[in-house]
Amino acid sequence: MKQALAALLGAGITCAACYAVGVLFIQRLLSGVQLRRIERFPLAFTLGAACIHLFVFTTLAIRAAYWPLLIGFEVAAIVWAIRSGAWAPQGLESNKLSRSLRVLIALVGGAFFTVYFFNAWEPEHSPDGAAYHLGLIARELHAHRFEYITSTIYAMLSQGVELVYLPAFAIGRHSAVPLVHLCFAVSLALAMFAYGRRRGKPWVGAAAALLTFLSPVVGRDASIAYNDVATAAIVFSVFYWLEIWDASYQGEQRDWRLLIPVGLLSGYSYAAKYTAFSIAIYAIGFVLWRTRRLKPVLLVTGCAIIMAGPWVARNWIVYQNPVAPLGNWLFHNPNVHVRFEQEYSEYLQRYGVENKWNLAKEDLIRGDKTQGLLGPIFFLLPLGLFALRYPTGRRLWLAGLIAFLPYFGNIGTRFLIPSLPFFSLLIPLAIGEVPIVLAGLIVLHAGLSWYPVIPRYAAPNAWRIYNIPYRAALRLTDPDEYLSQDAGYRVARMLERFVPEHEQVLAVSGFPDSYTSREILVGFQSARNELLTDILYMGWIGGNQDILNRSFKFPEQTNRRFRVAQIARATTIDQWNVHELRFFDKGVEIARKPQWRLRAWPNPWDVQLAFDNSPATRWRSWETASPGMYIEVDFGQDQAVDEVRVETSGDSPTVRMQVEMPGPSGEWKMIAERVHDTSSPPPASARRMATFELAARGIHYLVLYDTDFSAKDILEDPEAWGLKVVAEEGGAKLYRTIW
Amino acid sequence: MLHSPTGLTIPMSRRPRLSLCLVAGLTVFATGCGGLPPSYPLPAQRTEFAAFRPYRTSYVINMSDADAQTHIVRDIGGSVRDPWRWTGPHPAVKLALKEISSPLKYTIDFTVADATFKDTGPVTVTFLVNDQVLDRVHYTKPGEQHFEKAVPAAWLGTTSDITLSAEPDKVWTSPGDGAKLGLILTRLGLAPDDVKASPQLLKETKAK
Repeated sequence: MKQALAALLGAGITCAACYAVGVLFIQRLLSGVQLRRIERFPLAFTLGAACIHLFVFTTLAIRAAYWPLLIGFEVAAIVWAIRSGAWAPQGLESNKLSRSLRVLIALVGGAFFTVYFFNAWEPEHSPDGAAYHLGLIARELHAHRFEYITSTIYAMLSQGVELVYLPAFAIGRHSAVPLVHLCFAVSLALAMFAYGRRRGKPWVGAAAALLTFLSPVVGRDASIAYNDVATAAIVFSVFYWLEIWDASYQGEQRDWRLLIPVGLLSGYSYAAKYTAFSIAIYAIGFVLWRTRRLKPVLLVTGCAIIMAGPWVARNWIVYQNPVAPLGNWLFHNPNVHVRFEQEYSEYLQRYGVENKWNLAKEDLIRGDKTQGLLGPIFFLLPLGLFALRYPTGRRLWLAGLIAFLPYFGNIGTRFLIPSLPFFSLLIPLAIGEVPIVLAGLIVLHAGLSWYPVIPRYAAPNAWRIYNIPYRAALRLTDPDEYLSQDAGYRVARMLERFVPEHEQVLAVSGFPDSYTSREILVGFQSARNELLTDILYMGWIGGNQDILNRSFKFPEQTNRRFRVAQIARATTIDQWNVHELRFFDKGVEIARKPQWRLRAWPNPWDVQLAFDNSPATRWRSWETASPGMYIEVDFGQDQAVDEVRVETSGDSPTVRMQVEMPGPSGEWKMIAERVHDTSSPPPASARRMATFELAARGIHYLVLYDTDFSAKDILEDPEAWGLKVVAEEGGAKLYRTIW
Repeated sequence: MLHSPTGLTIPMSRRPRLSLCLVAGLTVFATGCGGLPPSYPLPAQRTEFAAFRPYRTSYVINMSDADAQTHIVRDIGGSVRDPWRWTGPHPAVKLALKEISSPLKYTIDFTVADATFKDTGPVTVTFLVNDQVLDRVHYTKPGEQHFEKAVPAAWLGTTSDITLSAEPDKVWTSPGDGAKLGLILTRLGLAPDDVKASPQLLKETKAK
């Protein structure tokens, strides 16, 4: 029960602090701005969250993220807000709501909130939440600073919302975080409701708020440690502040101070999720359109930079890529492979939905492949076109479509959430302030979104809420026992028991990192992990092994530098692989000497792998083979060479190479392009060499589910791999290398 | 004065500064993507290990093995890089046993494909060693399957070339080209039978 109360306390303090900082901001910097009482809470909440995120970022950057400082700041903000009078509800009163509307909101909203609340309060075990959303803040809190984490692309993403979670996590651990996320969801619903009331259409506002809040994917997402609903709240706040700014038009000008929250929240949307930054484009475009002046645009941009800039700077400094883990084709870096980004992007654009015409059905009612469903009510969205007759409707469409655009980069249903508030407003707006129709719409949506009803029409594996886990939430069921139903949790605890501190563990599948302090290197999640996995696979996959000798013979040439260039443009995803590059003169291999200097493009950081004499390692371009790629050797002095031999695997058939050396003017010229191929048997000791190479890179532990790729081969004969089984749990085995 | 299409007016005096900033910004931006890549010294040189457990590469044939094709006798399609391959009705692989130092078991991983199962229904697969039936198993559901069974020592003792096969009783015939598809094969071969290899392990297993 203590844990449950701690979670409530952590979430309560953080949410209260968000509101407190927000109202203080409004009181100090936006004094005189006429906000309505009902809109003040949600707008202050997201604004305060943005400021708290910046504070936590600063403490991490200066290595001072200690919990007393974080909590002290939040408590001080709350006390200051109360003492200064900013805390108290204030602002313009709206017209009184009809009794029927109040009853409907209380019944429907209350019922769904209760379900979400208990789901949020239970011990956190969502896949991404328990893995990296919480895993990273747990590490940051432990280290009191940003760590240079290159083992996962998720550490490279901005953490705008996660940093707001961090103080809550410091007090209430895992369960406090979903409760904060739920608070963002409530804030979003309130903002939408308030927006309707601001437009004089309370029923429209209420219907829109409930369309979003009751949506199955919103309910699932808001009750776990994700950030999509929080992002939607931030995005909608940008729109809302813009509307307030636009409405402040008096004496031929608007209140420029209102552009400060617009800019800050635009930048914060980037900090929350890269894809949400599209709303900043809307904000800047809208301000430019309304004012036709540069100064207001610069104000919005400058404020946005205050929030987004730190993340860009961090990534540029730490990961050599300001938009890491994206844009690696432009900002080549050793942390993320271009090929990974290509393949991952292709996956995120498909999710196994080959026919895009099925996407609406998948996103709205099935919710299996795209992980979640919005609810069938959103088939009514075309009705929203009738809202184009209002200026508000036109602005909502534009903002919604701009927020929707990045969706095509990731067609997971939850990536629709940031645009959902706009689309949710459009449907009732088109219908108009007709209580009976809107009440029917709400009741229908509520019925279809109620968790036991969803399986009647959605896919059996749809990502959704399954029950009301009140016993787990109240800790009447032992949390450890409850979480142990999840095999991943048991594996994480096994790592905690059997892997020494500071040892890294290589894995093929992901695990809930936040439940272990050991660092898990998941195969695909970074350039280094991909290299380690490639070494592992080299142990048993014949197609990856060093079996092809490609020899280039030419009349003896003397030069200090030689290189092998790749000259084909692969039409598939074939990349260029080189296990070893050897030089010969008169049939004798030229002994490798310490003064040699090696260079490659792309992927210069791994060039040594083509010169280490190991059959278990190889240099790879990690990009689709294209002209301009090369591996170069500077012998340090003139060297006679008449043969170059490239040892490679058989898995890059489209690659074509030629040998080059610099001419007198420094231009590279081709000296051999005819290749003679011979095959060699696969290395008999490849499995042991693979684990030896892993150990040489500091990896002594390997955890594999029995169903993982490679697991069967290892399971059958660990000794042949130089591995020993250390422990077994949840269908996974933990191995240690003998090296 | 300069008039932009949006009606935005920028004083002339600011233009050089703006373009200067733009050029400077782009220069800074481009520093992330240009220049000669760094060079590195020669790394430590490895020595290949002496061959360890050579049976690993010769007795179990992974379809992804570079030399898998040399072991295939018949009815297994695909190319060198495929980790799985379609079989026909009579797939078989050949192994050359150099020495048998421990008991061996027939081991196979394959998949009964959803797509073919819809038409063929349940299939019975006969597992053979040198054309002698080791076992028959009836599969009533599609999906990944694993089968292993100890091979009597007498079946292996007198010969160095062993043929292993796994024959489904029904195959799916493509209406287009008439191709016959049986199973999706991942690996097939003989693995050490550790239970029989270790008297202690055998004793423990029996005790259980």
